[in-house]
Amino acid sequence: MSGLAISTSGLVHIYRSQGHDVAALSGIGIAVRPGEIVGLLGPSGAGKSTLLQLCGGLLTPSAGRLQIGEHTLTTMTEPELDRMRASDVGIVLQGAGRNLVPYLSPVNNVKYAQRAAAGDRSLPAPEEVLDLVGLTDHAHARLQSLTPGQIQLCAVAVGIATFPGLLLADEPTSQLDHAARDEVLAAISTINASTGMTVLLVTHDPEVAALLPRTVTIRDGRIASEGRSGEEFAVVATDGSLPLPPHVAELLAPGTLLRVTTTEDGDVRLRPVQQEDQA
Amino acid sequence: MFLRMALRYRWSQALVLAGISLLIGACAAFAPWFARAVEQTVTTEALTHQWNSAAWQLKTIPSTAVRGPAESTPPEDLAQLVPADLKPLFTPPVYGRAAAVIWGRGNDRPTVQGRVVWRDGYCAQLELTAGRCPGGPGEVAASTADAKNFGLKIGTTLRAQTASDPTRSPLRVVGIYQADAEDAYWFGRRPIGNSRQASDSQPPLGDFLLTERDTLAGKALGAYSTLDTRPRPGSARADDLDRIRQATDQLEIQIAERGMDAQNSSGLISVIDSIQAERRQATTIIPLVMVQVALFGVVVLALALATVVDQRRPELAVSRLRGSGAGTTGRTLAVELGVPVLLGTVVGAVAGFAMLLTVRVAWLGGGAPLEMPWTVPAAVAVAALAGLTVVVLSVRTVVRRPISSLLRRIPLRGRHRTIGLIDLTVIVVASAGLVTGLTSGGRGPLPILTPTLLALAVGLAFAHLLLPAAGLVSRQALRSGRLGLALGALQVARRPAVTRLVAVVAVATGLASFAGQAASVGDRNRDTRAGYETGAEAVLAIDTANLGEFTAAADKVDPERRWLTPVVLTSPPSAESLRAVLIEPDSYQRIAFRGDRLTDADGFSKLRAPTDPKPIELTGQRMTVTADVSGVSPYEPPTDDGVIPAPEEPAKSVVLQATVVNQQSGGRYLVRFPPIPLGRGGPVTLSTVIGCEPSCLLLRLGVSREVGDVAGVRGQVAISRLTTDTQQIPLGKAENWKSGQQIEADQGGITATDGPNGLTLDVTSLGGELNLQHAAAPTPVPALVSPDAVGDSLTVPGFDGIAIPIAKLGNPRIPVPRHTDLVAVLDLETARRFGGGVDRASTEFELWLNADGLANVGKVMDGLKAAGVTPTLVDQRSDRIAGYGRSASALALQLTPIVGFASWALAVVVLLLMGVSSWRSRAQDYASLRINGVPAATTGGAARWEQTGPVVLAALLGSACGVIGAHIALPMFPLFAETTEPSPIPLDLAINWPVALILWLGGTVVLTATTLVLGTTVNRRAGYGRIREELS
Repeated sequence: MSGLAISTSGLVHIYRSQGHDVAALSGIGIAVRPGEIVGLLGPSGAGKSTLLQLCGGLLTPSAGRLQIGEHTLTTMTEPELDRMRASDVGIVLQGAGRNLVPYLSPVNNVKYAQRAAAGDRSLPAPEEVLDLVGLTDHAHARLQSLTPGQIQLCAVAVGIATFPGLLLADEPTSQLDHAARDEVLAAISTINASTGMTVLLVTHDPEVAALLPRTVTIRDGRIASEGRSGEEFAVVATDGSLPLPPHVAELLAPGTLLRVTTTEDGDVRLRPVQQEDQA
Repeated sequence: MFLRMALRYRWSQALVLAGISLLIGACAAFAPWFARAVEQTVTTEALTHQWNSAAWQLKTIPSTAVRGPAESTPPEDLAQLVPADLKPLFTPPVYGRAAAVIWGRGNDRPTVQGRVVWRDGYCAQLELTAGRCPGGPGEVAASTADAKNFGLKIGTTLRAQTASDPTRSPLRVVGIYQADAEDAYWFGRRPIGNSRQASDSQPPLGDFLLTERDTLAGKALGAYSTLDTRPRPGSARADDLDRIRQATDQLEIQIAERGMDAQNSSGLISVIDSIQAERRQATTIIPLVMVQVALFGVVVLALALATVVDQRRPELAVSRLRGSGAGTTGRTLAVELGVPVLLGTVVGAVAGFAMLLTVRVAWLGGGAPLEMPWTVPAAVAVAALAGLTVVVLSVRTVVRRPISSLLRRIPLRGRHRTIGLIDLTVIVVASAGLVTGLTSGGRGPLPILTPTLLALAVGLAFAHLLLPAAGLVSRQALRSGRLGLALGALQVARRPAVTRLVAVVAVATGLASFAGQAASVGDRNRDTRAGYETGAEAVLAIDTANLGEFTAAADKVDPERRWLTPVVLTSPPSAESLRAVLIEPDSYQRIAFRGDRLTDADGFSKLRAPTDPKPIELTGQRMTVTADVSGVSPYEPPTDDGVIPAPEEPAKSVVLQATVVNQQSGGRYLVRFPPIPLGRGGPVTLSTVIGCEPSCLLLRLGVSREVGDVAGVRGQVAISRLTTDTQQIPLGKAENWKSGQQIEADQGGITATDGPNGLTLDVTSLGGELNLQHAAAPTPVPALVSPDAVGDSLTVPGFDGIAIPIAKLGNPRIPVPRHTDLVAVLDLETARRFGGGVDRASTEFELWLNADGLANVGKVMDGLKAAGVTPTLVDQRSDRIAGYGRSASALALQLTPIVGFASWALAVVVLLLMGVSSWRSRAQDYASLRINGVPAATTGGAARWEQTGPVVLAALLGSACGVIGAHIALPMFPLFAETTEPSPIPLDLAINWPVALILWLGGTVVLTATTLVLGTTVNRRAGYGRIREELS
């Protein structure tokens, strides 16, 4: 199956905490092309995992539009979401163990993950899936005997068990040493290259982010910036708002008035308005 | 595909689920099986022990035709009355012919009342001590007793006639026999034990003269036919009882329809009714006792499944993440959990059968057949269905949650604590059941469920109060720096599983506590009732007709009354009148069952025969008195209208008389002195025969008149120098002589005043007898009278059957042991002073034994025989206790210890399950605390006490609920089989506090030991590596 595109517009997710409504996402708009690998960056609580879970249909958006390939998630029923997860979207949760059935070997975990999609289409052989992540030699091993890196690779294998069009991976490299981290990232790259699978990957790790062709930084439920090939860009939202990069925002106190001007060569300039100017 | 792996991976959980289901299945299968077995056992035992009452005893009615007896129906014809379908259930009929005859030896006038009897196969039942069995018409075998009493020998010719036909038929004695009259063959028609020689008041009686059928053929001797048969224990089963009862009920109709002249004497209907009452108890109590365990098992299963399913949430989340729908995921898990539940239930049914086999041998004596009543598969199916339903509901509740919720390690809870719908429903249903049970008049099944319902409602309510209370304790402890307590309480507050734990422990300890009370109170009441009914540890019936002989034998065997107390029962002809129980108060208090509680010390003191004055003893053949009647003159009483009629003849004389009681024979005699003519002045010396050998008591002194001399006299009769030929008799003070009856002034009267060397009797005589009774034999006699006696002028029969007036001291404080209804308790010595020849028909002599006496019963009986009386051990308390132990109620209550232990076991299982399923997250919590510097000792304390504290409180609460439940439910619990008349013996339903205390402590120790071990284990596993652990 080829990769699936992701398209969100004005995506809002509000949850209730201690009696108050909290906006985890406040009008996210993002577009990911089929086969693209995109990293979601941002501090804890920024809304990365929430966005990932919305894409996986694990949470329901409070408002906005969310499209995964042909699936419009905002209007789908639970069984439709089940079918989507069975065939089109693979999910790797943070904490490798949470993705696996503890009493099954890697090969059986892959088989277990293929159960729901079994009738819909032809599926890759579990061994083929494990080969993609380099776990062929451990196909029948007990999970408890694997290293943390191998367990994470196993979790990735389970996520791609049906060769879905989209792989959603939440911190797949956290708690791994460098070698294991690189191994996991290499596996994901291999999968992306060989299957054309779209990958949306949440990470904290700047070193991991640096390896990704495209990153989207989320802060306070909004897209703060986007990185392309190592260069960071501010992103104008659909409502025209522009979150400032942190190093710029640090210079400006909240409530500061900015004068926006354009130059003849197309530059846009922001200049704080001084007090005397205001007067 | 993955089922086997899943089961193998969590084999311990599967084992726990299977174990709980096994218990449920075992209870479900065992309860109906055991109830059925008890039904069969009580049926078999009732038919065995009450075989004579249960028998059909058919008898043709001898014709009353004027012209001699008609030939009666042959006994074989009576067999047609037994329905064909019931014949296999009855013993083969014993046919018989019998005739009531009066016979005599040779040409003597026939005087001996007896029976000539033929019974099919009788020869095999006889032990011939001489001669042979009769072989032809006119030949008879006589009993050894008849041979002795009437001088019968082999070859003796007898002549027999009937009461209505003086024609004498010759009978020849060809054999002398002994037989076991108690053998079932005779069906209570005792061939021996009747023989006695003539006495003053009674005609001679003979045993059976057994003969061949031909002797009684046709119209001979007005013989009638008999047929005896009875339901065969072991063949006639519980299900046959209705048919047998119906057939018995319709027997009279059958007889009439067949034109027979016959009747059936049988107590079978009442035997069947009592069996049915016991069956109802068995089918009510046993399932209810077991269903509590089964229900508790289902609750525990639900809690265990809730824990197990909760632990599977990550796996459910994985399944949902991979696209499986909630239904599919739920079904997969339901199958995984349903397999051990189903297997456990099936194995439990097998275990239930094994339990049945065990108790069948241990408790039921192997008497119940192995059956498969439909209730067993039905109950097992219901148990399996209940188990699977709980599985489905448990899975369904969790699997339907959103995936995001399933992904959380600890489920989200609302900010405000609320009672869950299920808990609330359980509390409401339990409370409603409790109220219904308590207001339903004490009948029906709900009272038995009271302790469980109470413990469940209270336990759940307490559990829900515990969480906020633990939070409060945690905060307080933290503020005061007690970190261990703070941590432990915090763990309680944040883990709702503790509510399940508390409820389970409360119900378990409540059930165990109630079970202990039910068993111990049941035991105590069976012991008590058996004690009241027996009267003492054992009772010997003494065959004697002489009070002196009876008391002398008792004195000889046990003069200090260490082992026995004599009791004499005298009964009036009417069952509606008072009987007298004559006792020795001192020994009775020690020997009789709760004899010391019969009345208080003052009551016993008043009951005793007076010690002052002492009875006046006489010895000798003659009694002499000096009397002076010069002060007596004619007297005409005024009439109502004041007219004094002229006497027809003037008064001639007065007659002094005395009533004496022979101390050896007990006989009471009236002796009269010669008449003393009136008008002759001065003292006269009179003498009369008294025959007081070896000695008598002087009971009364009085004045009477000669026959025909009825004219009134009034005046003083001075008596002095009363002597016998061996002694001077001191008459004592006048105040010791009292008139027993309140005589109206115009009816005459007698009083005594002190006189020189004797007494002066003030007499007003109108021709009747006037007596003064010595105060050593008070009249009326003080007595304790049972509350069911009505009226003020009460009397009881004396030894001779003559009424003795009694004065009611009050009611006994307890039912009179052994003789509870319509009785008056009197002092035996007082009654002895009244004397009277013993009427054997209405007087029973008994010696009651205490435990030591029973232990030496052989010695006692030998001593009594040596003393000349024949004792028979007729009753033992232990036999009655054993008898009550065979009742349906007792058999059902025997299950209660199983209930108690099963409850504890289930609670331990739940504790272990909670430990197994939560240890990892708890260990991670404590590991995190240790990383942050909390000492291992503190986390250890918290780990141990976070469950131990609530468990201790819940055990206390549950035990209290069990005791309260027992207090409420036991009065409604059928401890004994229902009877038409309520027993006068009160139930002692007081709480057995030692048992309550032991069970509370035992439960607390068992359960807290478990939680302490689990807590210690958790703390040991709270290593730093635990924090990074992911795979569960």
